Parts: sequence; structure tokens; C-alpha cells
Amino acid sequence: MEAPDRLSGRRACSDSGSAAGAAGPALEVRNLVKRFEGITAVDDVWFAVPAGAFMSLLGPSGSGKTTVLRLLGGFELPDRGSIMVDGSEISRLPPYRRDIGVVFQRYALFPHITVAENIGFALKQRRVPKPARRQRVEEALDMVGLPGYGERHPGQLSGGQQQRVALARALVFKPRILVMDEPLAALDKRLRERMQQEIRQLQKRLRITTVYVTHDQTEAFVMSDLVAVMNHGKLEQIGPPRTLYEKPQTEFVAAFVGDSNLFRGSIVPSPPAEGEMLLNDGSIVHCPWQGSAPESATLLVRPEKLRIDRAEPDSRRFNTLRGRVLDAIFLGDSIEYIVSAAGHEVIVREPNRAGAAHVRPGADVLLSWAIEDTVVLR
Amino acid sequence: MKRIARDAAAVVRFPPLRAGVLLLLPALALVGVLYLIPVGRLAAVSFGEKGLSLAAYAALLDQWSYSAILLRTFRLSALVVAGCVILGYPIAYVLAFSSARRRALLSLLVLLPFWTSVLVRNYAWVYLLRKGGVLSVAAGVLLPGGKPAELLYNEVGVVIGMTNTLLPFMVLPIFVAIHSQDRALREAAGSLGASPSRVFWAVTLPLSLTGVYAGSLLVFTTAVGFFITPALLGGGRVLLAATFIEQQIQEFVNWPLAAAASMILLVIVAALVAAYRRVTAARTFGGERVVG
Amino acid sequence: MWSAEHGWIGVAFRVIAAAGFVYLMLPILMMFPLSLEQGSLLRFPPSSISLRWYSEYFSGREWMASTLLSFKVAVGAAGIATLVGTLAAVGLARASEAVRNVCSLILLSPILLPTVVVAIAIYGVYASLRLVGSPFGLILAHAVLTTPFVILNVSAAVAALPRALEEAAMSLGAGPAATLAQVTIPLIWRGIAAGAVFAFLVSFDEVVIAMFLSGTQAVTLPKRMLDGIFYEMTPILAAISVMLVLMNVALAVLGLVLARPRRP
Repeated sequence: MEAPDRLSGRRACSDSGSAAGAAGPALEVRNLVKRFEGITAVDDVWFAVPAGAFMSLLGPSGSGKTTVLRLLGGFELPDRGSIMVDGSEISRLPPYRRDIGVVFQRYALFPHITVAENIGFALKQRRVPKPARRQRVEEALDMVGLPGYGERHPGQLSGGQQQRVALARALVFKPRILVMDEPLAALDKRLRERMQQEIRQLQKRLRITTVYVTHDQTEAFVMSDLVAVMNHGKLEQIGPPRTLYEKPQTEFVAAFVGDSNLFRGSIVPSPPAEGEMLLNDGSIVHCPWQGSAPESATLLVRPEKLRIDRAEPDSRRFNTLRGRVLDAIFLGDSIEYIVSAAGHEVIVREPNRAGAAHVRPGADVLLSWAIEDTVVLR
Repeated sequence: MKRIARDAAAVVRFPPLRAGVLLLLPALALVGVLYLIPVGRLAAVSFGEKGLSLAAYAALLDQWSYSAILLRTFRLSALVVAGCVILGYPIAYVLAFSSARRRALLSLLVLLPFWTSVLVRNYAWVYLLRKGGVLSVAAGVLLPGGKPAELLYNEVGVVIGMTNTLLPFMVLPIFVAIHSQDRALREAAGSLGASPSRVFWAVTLPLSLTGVYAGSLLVFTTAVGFFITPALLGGGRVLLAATFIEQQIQEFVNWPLAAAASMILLVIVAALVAAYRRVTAARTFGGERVVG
Repeated sequence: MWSAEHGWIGVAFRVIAAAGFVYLMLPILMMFPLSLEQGSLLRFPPSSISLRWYSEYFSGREWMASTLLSFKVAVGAAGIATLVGTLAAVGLARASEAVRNVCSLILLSPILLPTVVVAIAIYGVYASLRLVGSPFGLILAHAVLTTPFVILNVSAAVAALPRALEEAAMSLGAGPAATLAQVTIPLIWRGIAAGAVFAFLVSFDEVVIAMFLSGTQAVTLPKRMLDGIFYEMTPILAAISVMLVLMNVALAVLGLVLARPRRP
């Protein structure tokens, strides 16, 4: 068990390196393990975040992403592994010596002091003299678009405003890393989308290395340079959003990031960089493949990559399956067909525009997709 | 399942602040020096002031018939529990189903005695229950014989006084148990055709039994250690465990005997409390107080 | 309305509850007319109304000395209990579950177990230390008895305090002491104050421990009242009772208002 996980972890690291840009990693996590009463909440997690990058930790609830964040913040101590910030080990330091700004899920603004005192709290701990403190608090309030709100109490602010104050409080002392735990979960959809943009703009302007925990795939994609997908305490894959979507490495990532059609079967290599896959129902499709020996595998084809064709397309560039339409669902911007093909119920998403195939349930159709749109999962 | 458990585990843990345990030290020192060590010493004394002997325990059960005193203590405490349930349940029920405003007013009638010194209430009972007093005459009229009833300086007076003192301890847990019930349950039972009384027997009562148990344990464990009320309203004629212990110290200066009697009482109460840890939860009502 | 909703059971409960309320309030309300009696015997209704026994109390040197002592003891005990109880409640919240269970059992046991046992245990130790009859000894003994009340009240306040607030303070650079002083304490002070009020109330009314530890030197007000009930049934005790009832109600209402959780 141990070795392949380690490998995938390492692979994840090098992947993120390629997406990194010039600077070395500002944050590097190695071999991180955290157990709670026999349950492994974080299981051998490795990743690196380049300086100034925005990384999302994406996963379902219970996947361990919040625990990773709490380990970064110092609210839990890891059982194993290291956390390096700018090359120095911090995993054993108490939270108040880490210099990491944290935005909590429900903001955790101090209700007994004013907004200005909340934002100035970190500066007070660092013994910044009062006039300088006041000036930096003002700047921070300007930065988050709340000038003049300093004398209010957190309870007098709306959810979105509290969110901004929490952000200002976490940034005002210029921490080395900013971590955020589902900071927008409590906001309604429209406000959430606006805050996503605001936070991203601010992060880019300040070029602060950010780790952002979310269970919302769209949010992760909208905001991030890098997305790390977690499941059952393990890091499944890390990479830029596009890579995760187009080249997922595991079925979990494929399914969690977008919709997917999966076909099972076995692959026979057919050089130079292609394989023939025998699906379980006997049909044969082509896929990009660099292995040398036959292997059982799973193929992924995204619904929007599939087309419903009337005539058979060029078989050197396209795979084709015969099928029968079971259902057609009108979604507005697209039409979704459920097609029975190769022993699977295949989802096909056709854009809603002139010339698109309009077929009824019961019709026999040809499904086709480009060979390079076929992803092999192991 | 696993996921939920993992999330829960992640949430329950407090930050790794070892200093937290240091905060407990002053209180532990205070309770240790002034409570645990003295009680430990008392335990030692109960086994003889020199060497190890069970003489005190043997004497207790033999000459002093402490077992009879304990039985009387338990019997009266059980009567007090019964009295508290009979009066406390209806009070809790009425409180739970009153409007918020009315409830605030009525709960004052429960909490006011709760906060009044035991001494004050017992003093009042001495006056109210004395022979020839209003209650004594009234009881005499109702009972066969027609003579003023003996209510003071006997078990009747002790039970009346103790029930009065401990009633609020019964009302509060039952009130919480009834009040926290989902109203929809009763409405559902009603919509299924149950009469109001049937709703009570089938829904409200069974769901409130936890409160009755908690209150009963609280009342019973407090009652078996009661001292002031039996002393004042029993007038020395109703010897209970606590009054016996006091008598051994103040009148006979018989430490081993008092210590042994204390240990037996302590073990019984501790066993009851341990058997039903929820008593601690029941004790968290703001303004609980020591009586007895 | 009531009978339609609650049936005959509900009606029966109302009747019993009404009787229960009378039973609960009767001894307390009785004190008011009895305290106004002019003569030396308790009489209801009073033969002639006067405040004689109130003035006897205020002019009685022994009564005043006992009252003052009870105040001193209650303030001292509540002070100690509030300090160690608050720290302990915060510590309990941070301890591991095993430590929390064991420590809370130890710290709460003085109110879980019979007071008479606590009293003679301490009496035994005090007798050999010559602390019987010492106000200081009473303060310490009452501190043990009242600490659980502070712990219960402060624990409730700590439980209502989102853990993230303390974590936020630490992430912003506040060490344990600064977090406690700048965030935790300011947010739980109402619970602390409620605990202090109830600790004062319990100590001021406490009689079983005082009975053993007062000796002849340090007789608290409840101890002197107890002697009074045993040896003289004059209306002065009714007068004192009335004042105690009023003070306790005022303090308890204060305590309850403080203990009420703040609006989130």
C-alpha cells in the first residue's frame, strides 16, 4: 500500500512544480500524517505551493482537507511529516509563532471588540506602536472596501462585510502564508461569486501564497492556480484546474471534478503512442497509450467531448460506438442525452445551437469522440 | 460512518496547549488539600486510629444498629423522592406548557424557594407544623380521631420539610425533559386520533422519564446526606445517617465510629452517582445550591 | 383551551401544581407577617405590627458580628473559588477527555457527596491544626464547597465560546497568556461573575460546615440562626429570614441574568 501512494504523492509534487513558475516553493508539505483515535484523517500528504500561488484543497467533507489546514495553522500537531515555509520547518511551532494568516469558516471575529481592534489585534501582539497600528488598520479597511467601518462591532456587519474584516485581519500583519477554511460557505450564491473574484484579485495584487479549503469544485477552479484533490485523507492529485479536468489520474478525481463516462476493459499496446482497448462488451476503441504490456484499465470520456453523429466519422481520428437514446434532458444551454452504448449508460452533452443533433428517445445513434479526448485511468 | 467520525474527531480536539492542564492545578490543590486528604484521613480513621481494624464497622452494625438507621434514611429518602415526583411532575408539566410570560412568573415560584436558605424554610416549618398550629389542627380535622395531628418532631415533619427543600431539584430536570420535546410529536399523536390524555401516556410521559430519573437520583442522593432538616424537624427523635454522624462527633467524640458511618454513606452515594452520571448534567442549572 | 389540549390529566396536573406552588411558597411568605410581631412569641396573624425585631437584629452586637463574619467568609471564599474555579474551567475545556473526566469528577465531588461528610473530614484536619474557630479556616473550607459552582457556570460560558476565537487569537500572534487575557476572559466574564455570585450565595447560607468549624470564635450568621432555632423561637429569626430572602433573590436574579448566554 505504502509505496504506490508515496509514488503518487511524489508525482503530485513534480506536477505542481511544473505549474509553479520561477520561484521555489513558499510552502512545502511532506509525508504529513495525522490520526485521531485510530482514524487516519491525513494520510501521507505531500505537496508544494510556489510563492504567490493560490492553491485550493478540494474534497468532500471528511476528506481531511480541513485537518491539513489545521495542521498548517498549528491548531493540531502532525503525527509525522514536515511543513516547510520558505525552507524552514514550522510543523512543531505553536500557532502564535507561525506567521500564518488564517480566515476561519465562520470568520471567528472577536465579538467584544471593534472592527478596528479586530484588525489591529495581530499588530498589537507584535507591539506595533499605536499610530502605526491605526494607519495600517485604515489601509487594511480600504483594501477590503470597508473604509470607515473601524468603530463598528462585528455583530453590526453583514456576512459579506464580516468576511472582508476577517480577510483584512488575516492579512494586515503581512503573514508568510494565508490559509482560508471554506470562507464563503455561509454566503448566498451571488455574494459568494463576487467574493471569489474579490479575494482572487486581492491575492494576486498582494502576491501572497494562499491555501484555500473548499468542497466546491467550481469555486476551486475559478480561484486557483493549483487544485489539490483530497479523498479519505489522501491527496489524490494536484495540478492546475485544466490538468485535473483533462487528465485526471484517478477515478475519484475524474468523478469529483466534472461529470464523467467511464468504460472498463483491457488495453493492448499498438505503437507508437496508442493503444487499442477491448471494452467489456466486445467493442474496440483507440486511446493514447504508452505502456508496453496488456493491462486492464478504465477509460474516461467527458460528456461534452461526445458527439451524436449521423454518419460514421474518420476512424483514424475518432472512436465510434453504436447506441440507443434512452432519454433526452433539456438543460437550457445544452441538451443531455442518456445513451445506452457498450453496456453503459453514457451521458452525452450537446451544446444547444443550430445544427446540433436533435434526437428522440428510442433512436439508434452513433456516438463518437476524438481519440485524444480519451483519458486512460489506472 | 467513518467520515462522520473523522470529522467529529477533528472538531472535538482543542488546540495543543499543554498549558491548559496547568490551569487545573490551583483548583486541584485546593480540593486535594482541603477535601481529598481530609476524606482520606477520615477513611483511615474508620479503620482504627492505630493499626488496621474493622472494629468501628463491626460496632456500627452491632451495637449502634447503623443498618437500621441507614434503612430509615433510605425509606424516608424514597418517600421524599415519591413526594417530589407527585408534586414536581405536575409543576414541571404546567411550566413547560405555559406561555413564556406565564412561565417566567411561575418558575419564580419554584426558583425563589430554591434560593432561599434551608435554615429559613425549616424555621418556617417548625412554626407551621407545631402542635396546635394551623396545619396540625387542619390535619386533625381531616384525619379520623379529631385530635390535632402530630406533625413535628417525627418522620412526618421530616418528610414534609425535606420534600419542600428538594422539590425544585425534581422540577428542573423534568421541566427540561418535557420542554425539549418536539411539539410535532404530540401533534402527530393527536392527528392520529389519540385523545389528549392518551397523548400524555403514549408520548409526553415516556419521553420525559429521563428527567424523572435524573431528578429522582438527584433528590435521593441529596436526601440521604441531609442533616439540617432531620435535625430541626425531627427534633432528635428521627435519627438519620447524617444526624447520627454528627451526634457521634459532637456528643460522643467517637471518631472511628463517625468515620466508619461516613464512609458507608459516602460509598453508597458515590455508587449511586456513578451509576447515573447524568446527575452532573442535571446539576448544571444556573443557581443550583448545596442544601442539607 | 387548556383542558381541550391536555385532557383530564392536564386539569389534574394544574390542580396539583397549584397546591405545589402554595406548598413551596408557604414557608417563605409566612416569614413576612411573623417578622412583624411585636411580642416575643411567633404569632399569626401578628398581635400588633412593629419593626421591633428588625431593630433588635441591627442593634444586637452578636448578630452584627456574625453577619459581618458571614460577609467576610463569603467574599473570601467566593474570591478564591472564582479564581481557581475559572482557571480550572478553562483548563478542563483544554484537557484531553480522560483528564477532563477524572478532574471534573474530583473537582465537583464536594457538591456530589454529603456535606456532612465533607464537614467532619475537614473538621478532623482542622482540629489538629487548631483552625477550628478561625475565619480563615472557614474561608478555605467554603472555597472548596463553592468552587464547583464557579466551575459549572464558567464551563457553560466556555462551552458557548467558539473554539475558533481562541485559535484566531493564536494565529494572530497571541500566546496562551495573551489569548486568555484578551479573548477568553473578556468573552466569558459573565459566566465568571455568575459563578462568583452563586459562590457568595452558597457560602453565605452554608450551615453544616460552619456548624463544625465555627467553634466559639467564628460563629457565622447561619450558625447563629441554627442555634436560635434550637434554643429560642423569637420573631428575630423571622426578621432575619425576610432580609435573607430578599438578599438571596436579588443576588440570584443577578446571577441568572449574568449566566444567560449572550446573543451570538
